[in-house]
Amino acid sequence: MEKSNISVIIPIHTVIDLDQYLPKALESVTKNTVQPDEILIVRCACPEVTDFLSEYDFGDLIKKVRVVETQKTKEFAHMVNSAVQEVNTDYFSILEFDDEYSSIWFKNAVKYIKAYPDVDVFLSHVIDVNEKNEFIGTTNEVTWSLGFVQGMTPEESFSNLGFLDLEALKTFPNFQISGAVIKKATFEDIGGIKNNLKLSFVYEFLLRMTYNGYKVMTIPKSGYKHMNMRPYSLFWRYRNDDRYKLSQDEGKFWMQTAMKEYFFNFDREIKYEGN
Amino acid sequence: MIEKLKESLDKIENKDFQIMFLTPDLKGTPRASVAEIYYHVKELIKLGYNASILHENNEYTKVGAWLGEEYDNLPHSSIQEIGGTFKVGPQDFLIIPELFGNVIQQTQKLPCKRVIFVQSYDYILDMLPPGTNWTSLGVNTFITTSETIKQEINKLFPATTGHIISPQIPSYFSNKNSLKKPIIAIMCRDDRTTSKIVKTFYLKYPLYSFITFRDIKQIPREELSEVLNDYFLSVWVDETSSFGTFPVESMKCGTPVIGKVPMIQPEWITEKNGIWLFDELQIPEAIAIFCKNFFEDIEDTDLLNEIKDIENKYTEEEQSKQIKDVYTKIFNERKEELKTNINRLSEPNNLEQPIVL
Repeated sequence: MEKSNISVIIPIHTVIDLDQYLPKALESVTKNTVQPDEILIVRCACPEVTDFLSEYDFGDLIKKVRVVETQKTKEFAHMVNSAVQEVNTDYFSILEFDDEYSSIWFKNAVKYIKAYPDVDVFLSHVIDVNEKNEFIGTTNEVTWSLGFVQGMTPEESFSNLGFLDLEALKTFPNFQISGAVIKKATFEDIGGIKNNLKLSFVYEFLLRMTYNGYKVMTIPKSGYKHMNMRPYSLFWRYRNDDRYKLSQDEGKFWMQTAMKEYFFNFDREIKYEGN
Repeated sequence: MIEKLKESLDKIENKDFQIMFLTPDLKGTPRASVAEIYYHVKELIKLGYNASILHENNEYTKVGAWLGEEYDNLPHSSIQEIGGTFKVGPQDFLIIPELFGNVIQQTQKLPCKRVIFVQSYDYILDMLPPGTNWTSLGVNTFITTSETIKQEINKLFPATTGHIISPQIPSYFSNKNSLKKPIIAIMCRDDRTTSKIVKTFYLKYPLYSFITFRDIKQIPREELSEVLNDYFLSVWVDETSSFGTFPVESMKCGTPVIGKVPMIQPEWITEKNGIWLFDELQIPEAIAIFCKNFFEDIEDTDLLNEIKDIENKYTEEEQSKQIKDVYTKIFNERKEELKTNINRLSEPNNLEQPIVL
């Protein structure tokens, strides 16, 4: 089978619904005709996750799976940054355990890497579903819209379709990097995903990428199914869990903070001091 | 008179005559029908003939900007400029595009051979005065682009002789196997049709509202080949088209076409080499289905294979050969006409009969 030069990173911070979703997520990897070279499961040090994974039957995938443990926190950004250090390929992709790749994703990712070697992040055309697996929308496809490209001549606009542009990103923040295929070297150069940002860490990451001149494009293929607001997921907790819940003002604060932080390639201490 | 005709005959034998192609001024707008005129002129010059572009006014926008610089260097002359000095003899040829129907009557008294070049069947009756026909106006020869149009013309003007020269699609319209972008190249004769298709598509399929349409009418030809290689779909509505250059260009670039079948069905259309519809209202739905399949990577292999069949058709080489054969035939026919007239004039009994030039 063709080598893809891509690793998949699956962050796991909880066992809630893990038995329900992880098999489907892994199956979505194996259904691809071109497969990633390795799968890194990055887990928190919580005993229940450790136990779950030690007993889990990975089947034939066991040859490709490596489990990486993070000691410090359960934060998504920290888990991903730790796993990237362990990646043995030039590209990696993040798979949330409740999400799935489409069976055409890696085949297309390899094609686009070959055709666009200077691109640093290949976003997927993401299909969003709810916890009942019902279609609710799509994400990332807007880069192909002529209305999204700003401040260019018509000819430039047409040739820049598909690429994420800093100016447009400032007015349209809704992008998804799960499922994306990311160049490891660029990710490390730019300082990874920032752990100190709540809510807007993906947005800030993309702002920082485009600000620094790195190229981000959307592959026009349905590559990733993302479950929105699964109970107990990170964004669900921001909205529903009293321990993590963000007020509307705090939500705004984190989005505004992203707009200030993308100039820095390191993770600064930030505190929300509102109500 | 006999001496003059003999002189003309010698001139044709020695390639010492003019072939003037009357050409409309498009003011810089790319159009395949005008490109074809230039291809004929270029090829005839290559064959050693004295061919040129003849335009109405001095202020004429040349085609180099969209067809290629080399075409600006072909001989051009303006009727306005040459005015009273416009002289043609029986050895010369004036090629008149079908849309200049009025010119057929205006040039009736010129001694040169006039040939109608029909690229769009739809225009041939537009400027023709009622009660007249090509033969009554002294025209008995035409060139067109397909057997179907030739037959239709012969139904209207049975006494005329038709010759076929297929259009050429330049070799830069070839499949470079690029990764396709979700952008749609659209070409409709009527801009309102373009607007209706695009708006209906966005209204009925908001999920695909990010898909960009690009009207390709103003794009220079060589650049168009790059655009068509990049874009994933072409949409074509041109009811009165007689050939359909744009869909053939698209297919040569490996881009599938959704199109409405024109009144005269082009000879290259097959059941499976495109998504051919008879109802314009079905086009937005066909686009939506095509988009869905594209994003899910579902390829219509039959369609893609059939498209490949057109790769080796309508080539420059094929057209060069046709140009050589057809014009040689037309020149020979003219020689025969002149010889007939010389013979008539040489026989005293026939002096009373009219001389048809």
